[in-house]
Amino acid sequence: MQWPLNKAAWLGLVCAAFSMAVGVPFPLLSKANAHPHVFIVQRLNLVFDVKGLAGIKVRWKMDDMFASMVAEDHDQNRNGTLEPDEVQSVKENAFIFIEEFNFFTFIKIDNRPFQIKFIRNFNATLENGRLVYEFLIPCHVTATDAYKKVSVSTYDPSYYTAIFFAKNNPVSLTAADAFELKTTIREDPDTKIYFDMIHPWTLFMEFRKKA
Amino acid sequence: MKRLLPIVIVFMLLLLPWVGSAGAGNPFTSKPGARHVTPEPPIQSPFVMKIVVWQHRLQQTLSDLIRDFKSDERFGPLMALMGLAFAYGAIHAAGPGHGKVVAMSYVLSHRPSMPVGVAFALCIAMVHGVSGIVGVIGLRFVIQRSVSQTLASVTEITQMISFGLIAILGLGVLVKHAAALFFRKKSPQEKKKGAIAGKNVWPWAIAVGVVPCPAVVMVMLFCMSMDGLLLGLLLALCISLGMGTTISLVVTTAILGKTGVLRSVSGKRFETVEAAVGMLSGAAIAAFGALFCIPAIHHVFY
Repeated sequence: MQWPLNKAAWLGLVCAAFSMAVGVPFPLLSKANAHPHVFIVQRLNLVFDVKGLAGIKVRWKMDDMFASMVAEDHDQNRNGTLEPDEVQSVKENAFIFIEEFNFFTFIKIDNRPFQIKFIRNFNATLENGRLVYEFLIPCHVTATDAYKKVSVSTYDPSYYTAIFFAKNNPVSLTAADAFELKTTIREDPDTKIYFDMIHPWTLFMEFRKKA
Repeated sequence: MKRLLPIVIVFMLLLLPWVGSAGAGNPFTSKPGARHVTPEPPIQSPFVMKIVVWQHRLQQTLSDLIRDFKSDERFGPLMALMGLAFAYGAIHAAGPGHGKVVAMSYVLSHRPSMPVGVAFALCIAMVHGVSGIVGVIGLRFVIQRSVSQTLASVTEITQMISFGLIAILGLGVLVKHAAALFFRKKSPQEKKKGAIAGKNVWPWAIAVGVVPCPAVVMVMLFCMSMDGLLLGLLLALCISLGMGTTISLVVTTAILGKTGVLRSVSGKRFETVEAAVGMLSGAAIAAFGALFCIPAIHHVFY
C-alpha cells in the first residue's frame, strides 16, 4: 500500500499541527487579551434566616498585582489602607462595572437562573498590600420539607479574571442550624465558558427544614 | 491532486482561528460596552486550565519574590526573579492571543528564513512589551493620570490601530501574491527575487504587538508601587523575552511545516501553490483585521 503523502509532507504536517497546537490551541484566538490577567481566590458564606437562604456573602482576595494597581489609583493618602471614601472610589471605578456580568456570580435555584439585581454591603480592605473585596448578594430561597437545590458558579464570562475557590474553608455557613444541608464544590458539567473549554468551579447546595 | 492535500489541510487549519470576537479589557475598570460578550464553542481543553493555574502560581511567586527582593536587594533573588519573569512570559504567551495566529499567517504568506522567523517572533514580543512599558511610564510620569482607568482607553485605541494595520498589511500581501499568481511576468517576485522573503518584519511586529501587554503593565505597576522602576523595566524585558520564546516556537514549527508541505509539490507547481496559499492567507489576514477594526472604531468613537 502506498502512503498518500511523502515523508517531507508528513513531517511538514506534523510541524504545522504542532505550531497550531501551541499557537492556536483552540479555534478562538483572535481575542487578544482574553486569557486571565486577574486572579481571585474566593470564599463564600451562605447566610440563612428563619425562612431559609437569605443571601450569599462573597469574599474575594485579589491577586497582589491587581491589588497594587487598585491601591495606586484609590489609596489617595497612601497610608496602605482604604478609608470609606476610598472604598467608595474603588466600588465606583474598580468594581461596579462587573454588574454587567452578574457580579461574576451565576446562581441557579432548582436549575433556574437567578438574576442578581443588586448587591449590598460592598467593602474593600487593603492590608499589607493585600486587597479583599466583600459583598452580599441577597438571594432568598424559602426552605421546605423537600430539598431545594441552589448552585453558585463564579466566573468572568470574558475570562479576563480567573476565580478559584480557597483551599481552606472555601464555604462557611451563618445561622444554618435550623436546616439540613449538603454542599459540594466541583466543576459544573452543564456550564461552559471561555470558548467552551472550561467548566467553572461551582458550589452545589441542597437544603431543607430539619425534620 | 493528492500532493495538494497537505496544503489544503494546513490552510483549513489556519482558517479556523479567524472565528471569534473582539478584544477584551479589564472588566473591573472598563466601562460597559467596551467589552465583548461570552463567545461560542469548540473543544474542551484541560490544557487551558493548567496554563491558567500555572500562571496564577507563577504570578503569586513573582509578586512574593519582588517583595523579598525589594526588602533586601540581594543578587540571588534577582536572578530567580528574572528566570520567573521569563517563565511567566513564556506561559502567558502560550495562552490565546499575542499575535501567534497572525505570525503563522505571515509565515504562510511570506518566505522567511528560520533566523528571520525567530527575529520576527522576538520583535512581536518586544513591541508588545515595550508598548506596555511606554503606556505605564507615559501615563504615570508624563500625563500623570490613573493607569488602570486610562489604560483601558489606550488599549481600545491601540487595538483599533493594530487591527487596522493588520488589515492593510493583509491587503498588501493579497495584492502582491495575486500579482505573482495572475501576472507572473510582471510580478515583483520575478523582478526582484525574494521580495516576499519576509525580511522586513517591523511593520508586522508593530501591527501585532502595539497593544500594551497587560502582564507587563501589571508587573511594572507592582514594581513601581515599591519604588522599583528599574526592576519593573528589567522584569518587563524578561517577560517579553519569555513571550518571544513561545512565539518563536510557533513560528519556527510553522516554517518547518510549510517547508515540508511545499516540498511535496513539484517545482513547476511550487510557485503557483505558494502564491495561492499566500494570496488566501493575505485575504484571511485582511478580513480578520477589518472584522475587528470596525467594532474597535465603533467603541472608540461612539
